[in-house]
This record gives sequence, C-alpha cells and structure tokens, in this order.
Amino acid sequence: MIFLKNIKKSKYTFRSVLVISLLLFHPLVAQEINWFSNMPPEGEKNIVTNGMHRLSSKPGKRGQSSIIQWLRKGTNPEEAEYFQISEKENFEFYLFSPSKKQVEGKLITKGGKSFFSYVSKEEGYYNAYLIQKEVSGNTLNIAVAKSELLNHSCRNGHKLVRGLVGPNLYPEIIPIEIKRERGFAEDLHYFTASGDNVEYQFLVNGKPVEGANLTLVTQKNWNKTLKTNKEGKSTFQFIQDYFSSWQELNNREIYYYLLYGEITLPEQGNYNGNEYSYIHYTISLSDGYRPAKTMYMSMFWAFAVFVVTIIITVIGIFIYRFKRQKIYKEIKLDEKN
Amino acid sequence: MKKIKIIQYINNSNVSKFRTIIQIAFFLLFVYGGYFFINVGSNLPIFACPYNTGSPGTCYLISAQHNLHITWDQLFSFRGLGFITGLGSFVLLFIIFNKAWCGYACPLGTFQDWITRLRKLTLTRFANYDELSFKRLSWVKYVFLVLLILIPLGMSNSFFGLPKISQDMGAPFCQICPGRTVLPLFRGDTSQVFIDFTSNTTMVMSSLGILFMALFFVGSFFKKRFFCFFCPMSALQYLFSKIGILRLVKDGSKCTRCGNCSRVCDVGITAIADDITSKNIVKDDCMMCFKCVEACPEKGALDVKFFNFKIFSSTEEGFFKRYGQDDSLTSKKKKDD
Amino acid sequence: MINATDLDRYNRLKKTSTIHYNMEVNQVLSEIIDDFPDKISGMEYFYNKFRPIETGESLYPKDKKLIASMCIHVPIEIIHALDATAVRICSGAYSTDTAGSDFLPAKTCPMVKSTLGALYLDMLPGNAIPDLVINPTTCDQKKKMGEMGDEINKEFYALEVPPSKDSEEARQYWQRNIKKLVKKLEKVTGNRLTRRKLKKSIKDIAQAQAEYRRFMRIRKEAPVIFGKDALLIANAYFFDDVNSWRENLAILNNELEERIVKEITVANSRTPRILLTGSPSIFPNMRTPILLEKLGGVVVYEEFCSSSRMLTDVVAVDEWFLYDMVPALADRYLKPSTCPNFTPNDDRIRKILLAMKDYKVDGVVYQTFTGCQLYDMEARKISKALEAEGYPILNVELDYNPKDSGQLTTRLEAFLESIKDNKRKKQL
Repeated sequence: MIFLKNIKKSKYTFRSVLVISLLLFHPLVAQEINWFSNMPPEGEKNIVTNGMHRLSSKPGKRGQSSIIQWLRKGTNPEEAEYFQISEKENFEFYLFSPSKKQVEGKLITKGGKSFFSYVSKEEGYYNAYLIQKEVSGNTLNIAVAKSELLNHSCRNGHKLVRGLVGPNLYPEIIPIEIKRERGFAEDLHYFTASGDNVEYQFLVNGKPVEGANLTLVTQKNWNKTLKTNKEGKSTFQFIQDYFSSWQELNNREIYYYLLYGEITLPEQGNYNGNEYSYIHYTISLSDGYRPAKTMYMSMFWAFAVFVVTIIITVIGIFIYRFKRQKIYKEIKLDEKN
Repeated sequence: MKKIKIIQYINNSNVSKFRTIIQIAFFLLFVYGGYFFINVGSNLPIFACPYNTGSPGTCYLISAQHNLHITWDQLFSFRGLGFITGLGSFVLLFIIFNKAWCGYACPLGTFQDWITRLRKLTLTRFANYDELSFKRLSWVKYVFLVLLILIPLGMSNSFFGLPKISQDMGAPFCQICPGRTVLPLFRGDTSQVFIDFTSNTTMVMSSLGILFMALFFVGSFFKKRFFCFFCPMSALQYLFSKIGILRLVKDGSKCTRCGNCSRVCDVGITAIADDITSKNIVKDDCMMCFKCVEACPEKGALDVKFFNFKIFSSTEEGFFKRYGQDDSLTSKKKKDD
Repeated sequence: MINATDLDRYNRLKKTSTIHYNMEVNQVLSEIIDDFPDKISGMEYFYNKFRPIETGESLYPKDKKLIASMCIHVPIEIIHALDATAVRICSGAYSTDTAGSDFLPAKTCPMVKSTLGALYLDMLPGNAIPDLVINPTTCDQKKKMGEMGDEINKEFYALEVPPSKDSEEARQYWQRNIKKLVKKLEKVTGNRLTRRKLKKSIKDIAQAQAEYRRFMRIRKEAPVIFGKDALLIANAYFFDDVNSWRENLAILNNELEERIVKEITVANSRTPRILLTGSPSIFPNMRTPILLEKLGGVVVYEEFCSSSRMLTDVVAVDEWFLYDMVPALADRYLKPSTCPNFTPNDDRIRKILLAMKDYKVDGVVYQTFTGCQLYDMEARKISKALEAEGYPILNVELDYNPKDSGQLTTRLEAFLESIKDNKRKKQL
C-alpha cells in the first residue's frame, strides 16, 4: 500500500497540477463530434468486456459474438449522448475486415439509440467508418467516425502476428484518417495503458497533414489539443485519471478516451449541386485504455515474499533436522473416548 | 557377435552421464531455442515455458488451460476440436518417450538436477519423505491437474448456478508454476518476478507464484526433484503412461528386493524394489531416468524397452562397471596424500 | 578367571580342545582334498587358509583393532573403513562345541555353542582376539549367547536387527541402529569414519563380490568345481583379507574358465545337481556337501548365510557421502537378506526357485541343525513351494558330532539314487 502511494505521489503530482491548469485555461471546444463508442449506455445488458481483448460484444449462439459500436455525439465521453440515426440521413457506413475486404455490418436502432453491429471472424483489426458529408455555406463538412477494434483469440495461435497488427488504411474510400502508429513489437495483445506515449498520424486522402488540431479527451473529460507536425503526427501521453483504493484493486477497469481531429483545407468543388470552396474535415476515434500494468506490479514485494519464504523454510528444515537427531520420534495416539 | 558386443557396450554404459549431456542439450533447446527460430509446437509434454521468450515451444498445460477456457456450447462445437487435437498431439508426442520426457528433456527438471549438484558441493544431506507422507503428498499433483481443468471451464461457465470465476484466474496453473518465474531468469529476464496488484485475485495468485518459486529453490535444494512430485504434468502424463512406447519392465522373479533401485531413485519410489508382481513398473512419479536399471545387479530384472526391443538392461557386468570400480574419489585422495 | 582352579581347568580345556580341533580340521581337510581325485591348483590358497597354526600366533595385523562379528547383518565395510580387521566368527568346529555347552542348554544349536566355545577358549580362526564382538540379534540363541559376555570375558555389542524387513519402521530402526554401531565402532577403534575411506572399502568389497559373482557364473555354466570347495572359498571370506581373497579367487576363476574350455568337469550330465540350503555349513562342519559329492552328486548352489547370501548382494549408493553411504549399507544388509529370522521371508522361496532354474538343479537338500528352530520351521514352507514346482527335497537334521554320519549317508544315497533314476528316465 505504502509502496503504491509512493509511486502515485512521485510520478503524478506534477502531472495533476498540469491537468488542473489545463482544465482551467484551455478553451473547451464546443463542437458536435459524432463517434463510435464501445461504452454501452446504462441499463444495457449482455455486453461483456472479453478478457484482455476488449471486445464490446454481445455473445451470440454457438460461440459467435457480435461487436457493437454505439453512435454518440459530443466531446465529453462520460456525458456524450447516444443518438439515433435514420436511414434517410446522409451517411455512409463502411466495414473492413483485417484482410482489407469490405464486409457487411448492420445498423440497428433500439429505443432511440443506434448502434452498429458486426460479426468478427478473422484475426486482426476490424475498421468501421461512419461518413457524413454536408455543405454549409461555402464549406463542405466531411465527418468521419472511426473505430478500429482488435479481434483475437489465443486459441487461434500467435503465428503471423506481424501481418495482422496493421494498420490498414483505405484512402480511396475514406478521405480522412487517424492512424495509430504501431509499436515495434506490438502483438495481438496490445492494449493502451496510462503512461503510454501513443503517436497518431493525421491523414487526408492518404497524405499526412501538418497543422491539424488533434484533441484527446479522457473519460473524466481531461483533454489536450496538439497540432500535428510536418509528418502529420502528434504524440499523446495517456494520463492516469483512475486510482483505485486498496480494497478494490482493479487495473482491469477500462476507461474510454475520445480522440478527434479537424482541419479546414481550401479546395473547390461541387457536392450534390452545392458549390464549396473549403472542406472541413473532422475525424474521431475512440477506444478504451487501462491503468498501466507496471503501476500494479511490484518486484519489491515479490522479492520480499521470496526472501521471507526462503528464510522460513530453511529455518524450518534445520529445526526439523535438529529435532530428528533425538533418538526416537514418538507416535501420537488419539486419547479421545 | 557384433550385435552382442553393441548390446554389452550399452548395458555397461553409464546412462547417468549420457543423461547429463542430453539434459544440457535439451535445456539449451527449450530455453534458448526460440532465438534460433526453432519451433517445436505448442503441445509439449514438458515445461517449455512461453513466458520465457526464448522458448521454442509451449508446455501443453498452457494449451490445455487455454483450450478449456470456453463455454459448454463451444466445447461441444467445432471449437472443442481444438482441445481434442491439442490433447491428441500431446499424447502422440508423449508416448514416444513416455516419462523420459521428464527425466531427459524438461528444463525445469534439469535445473533441479543442477541444484542437487550444488547441494552435493555443500555436503548437505538430502531429504526423503517417509512412506506415509509420500502417499499423502502424491495426491497433490492430481488436485492441481483437476483444478487447472476446472478453473478455466469455470471462468466461461457457471457450475451449478455459482457465479463464474474471475477472468483474473486465466491460466491458473501458470500463475503459480515455478517454471514461469524461474525459466525466464535464464535469459536474464526478471519480469516474471512480481506481485500483481491488479486485483485481489491476481495479488493472491502472483503471491502464490512467488511463494512456490521460493519453495522450488529451497525444496529442490534439499529434496531431489522436489517440484516433480507435485507437477500436474506428471499426473497428466501418467494417465497415458500405460500406452507408452518406451517402457520400464521388471521381472519380479529375478528381483532380490535388495532395494538398490529405490535407493538411487531421485523421486524416492519404493515400489520399484518392493513390487515383484507388476511387469510395467513405471509409477506416477517416475521420470524414467533409468538410474534404477543402472543400480540393479541382477541380470534382466529391469529392462528398458522400446516397442519390444530391449534397449537397456540391468546386468551384473554393467553394475560393477558403474558401482564396483574405484573412481575419482580415491584418485583425489591419492593427490591429497 | 577368578581362581587358580578355574584357570587350571580352563587351560586344560583349551589344551584338549586345541588338540581335538587340530585333529578335526586336518581330518576334514584331508577328506576334502585327498578323497577327491580332482585337483584345482587355485584352491591351494584357500585350503591353506584353514590349516591350523601350530604356533598359536595371530594371523592379523597387531596394530589394528579386531572386530569380530556374527551373522550376515554386520556392515563390514564400516569396520574396514575404520582401519580395523573384521572377522566373522561363526564356527563349525565340534571340538569347541563342548566348551560352549557349559553356558547354554544342551538342545541349543551347535553352531552357537561352538562359536561361544571358540570365543571362550580364544580358538577363533587365525587365532583372533577380538576387541569387540558384534552380535546381531537375529535368532533367540544368538541373542542369549550375547549375554554371556561377562562370563567369557569378551565385550559383546548387540546390534538390534528388526524382526521384519518390509516395513518402513523396520528400515528406519535398522538404519538408526547402524548409525549407532558406527558411533560405537568409532569409539572402540579410536578412528573417525570418513567418506573417502568408506567409499574405498565399499568399492573394495564390491570388487570382491564381483569376483564371487563371476565364480558363481562359472558354476552356472558348467560343473567345474565341487560345492565343498565353493563353500570353503566363501568360508575363507570370513576371516581373510578382502583384497588377497579377491586376487586368489580371480586366479581360481581364470583356472576354472580354462577348465570350461578344456571341458574338465567334476560331473557329467547324469550327475544329480544339488542345491544346498538351511542351517549353514561352516568349516569344519562340511559333512553334508562332502558326503553328497562323495556319493556321486554335485552341489551347484548353496543358499547359506555362510556363502551366497553373504556375498551376492551389493551396495549401490547414489551420493557418495556418509549421509547416503551408511543408510545404503544398512539397506544392503537388511533388505535382500533371506535370514529366516525375518517374517515374512518369502524372498527366500523366490531366491531358491530362481536358483533352481538358473543352476538347473535336480534336487534340494535342506539341512537343519539340531536345535535350530528357525530353519526347521521354514523347511515346511520351502518344501511345499518346491514340491509345487515338482522338485524333490530332502530334509536332514544333524549336529556337529561327526560320528553319527551313518544314517545321513543312507538317506543322501537314497535321495541321489532317486534323482539319478528320474534323470535317466527323462533322458530316455
């Protein structure tokens, strides 16, 4: 316990000050962002977080489960509303399997809340996109909500992992992308954890864009906006805004984040008969992250347990051996009755 | 004549020395083989531990625990095939060398033999279980085996309406197995030596893991092959030992019950000397090191058979070659004088 | 010796006994050597070992302590490792039997009486004067004999042998007793047991046993030597230096192997092959084997504590340290022993049955000394087991008095004749 507290203090005091100052001085972006969320609305059952592979899913028959992505609106992950999308509206859905094929997904609306549902069969990342386009004034707004979810079962083995971790991009179909850069040794057990530095690349029509605003919002509404560099990249460090008490140790608790980015680029064109001279691109990406594993691992305690056990057993053995030197070991008889 | 000479040469040979060399070779293979792009599959009947990234294969217990982490529905569907094929390939691999896998190939067993050598250098007496403790403790491995089957099933299914077991119990035996903590140490990796405060379950399990690691070191220092006595792999192997191709066969009529075999037995089996009726003398703790055959001076009382070919037999000549001749100790003495 | 009369009596008894002993020994030796035309030059060494020493001097090194032992349960490796001389004193002499009778009831086993008499009169093989007599508590008679220490002025050490050898408790008890014995011997000899010395003595004795096993292999192959000679060889091991015993046995073995090649045998295919078991024949009490072989049989295997039982089983040690070597020795002297004082003793039946096949035995002669209860009682079980397998068995009872050989001769003769008949029928 003491050990844990120490870590918290030493590592995060400075950061929490930073967080508060940011919250105070950063202008909140009041913008309508649509995004895919794997955080189920309250009261919804049959949603499980499947072990370390974090599928928001609904178990189906014969071992098949469907992945569910809720449609949400707003930039505060905890409060963003679940909304309904009607077929009449101007949107396109795309779902790509890990083998880069376009596959079918279903849009289901239930009780005023829409979700996108699909069955994942292949190993690797499934990419889902919701694209909305509309013209207002002289600007074409292209909003893309992206989800990139890993499907993996250890039962299927761990061969060919390098080919499955992606990332897969579809610049011909999806005009705007946020690409999470993969780590060198990333495998199918990847899970973002607090403390991780994650690099994102902002791409328009497959080309990196400099100077775009990327904003990371955590579930507790901590946010940070960075401008992309020359290569269109920004690096975010995920903060830990979840601390459990000693009694309820749980670093399996998943917290959600929302990452969105936007940029307006001058480009003339015609969309559905409406002329425009600017395109305003918006993209969102949401997923879960966990408290850092190392925060909850203690080599010190392990060493302590190791040494104490060794000392106790060795002393025990020597006492036993010493006692054995006495000539006769008495057999104990039961005196009951 | 040539054939007879070869047989005589083998029967006179020192199998223990041969075993030491084979053990070193297998240890290098199963601890560092992965670095040489060797892959020997995931259903090995030994502790080739994938927590050690140098391991070229996977211990079957991990595969079994993973394969059984499924619902009843899945178990009896095509998914259940995974378990059956896994078990099948394990059995096929196992029966070739029977329990000699333990005595010759298991890296954890080899390491224990090395610790025994270390103990000899300190002139410390080895420990032996008395008959009663031996009988009582020999159940432990079967309990481990049943638990490592039931717990993964209990994580996916609810038994008798009881709540499902926490996901933190994933691969329950691995969490307490000293192979996981000890074998990575050979590539300088101490990352498995930790106590995981993720949840109460992981805290208890990882503490047990460290406890068992400490007991492993102390135990195998004082008792030859200490851990093997509690190894669930040994229990699982014994279920299929009867159909093993490599066999240890005893001819009771030739046995004088002198007890040489049980005296040199590293795992302390007394039945090898006292049982004069059984033909197949492989007991559940046996690791087929064949030291008993070496120590038997009665011709043909103990035979090692592969299919029906005798590949190593107890002979008078061989016995006196190994035990009757003055060797290093006296030559050392001469130097001392 | 308290007073002069006693001393005088003792001296007179010793004098007459010595004369009788020398006569007895010379007579038996001449029977063994001269009554058989077959001569093996390698046997000369062993014959000479038994010839009486006229000067009365001790054969053994004087700077070493001498530890006498009885039965086959004393780990002599430990005695050797402590730089002491080990002598097994079980006696077969009729001439000391009478001296022993003074201390024990008349119906006592003659071997116990004879041994006690020999101890009392200091007429042990090689004129040994023991510093300590290790007396394993095997049969009742040996136990009670061990209580006569004060009367005959010798120090006895009762090595407690468990009545059973199968239970874990018995093993533990026995191992503890052996450790106690080590402490006692360390005290008597004034030396400390070291692992190097013990290892060396274990190996020395193992080599001697290897030679004996080679000897038995040769006997298994062809009847090139008489059983009476084989018994003498094993008998010499009682008091001979282990290494010179081994070397001479090796010379003999080489000679016997040559005999196999040259096909010089002491028996032909019609000779009844006999297994001898029961109370042990110890020189000079060699009547049964001598008679058997004079009458045209050949003893091919002796299941005696004075021969194969003493020499066959070898120690195996896992770790060459005292903590393993001493218990290993204890195990070797307990577990394979087929001494009838253990219950159950089915191992003896199995051992005999295996030998019947291995040595192609035609019949068993089971000898029991008058007063030897344990062998007498086991005779029934052994007979039944052998009869079930279709082997003939003859039970004979005898004591050390060489004069009443008449009846024994008749019975052995009849037994051999019936075996010969059977063999003839089978060969036809």
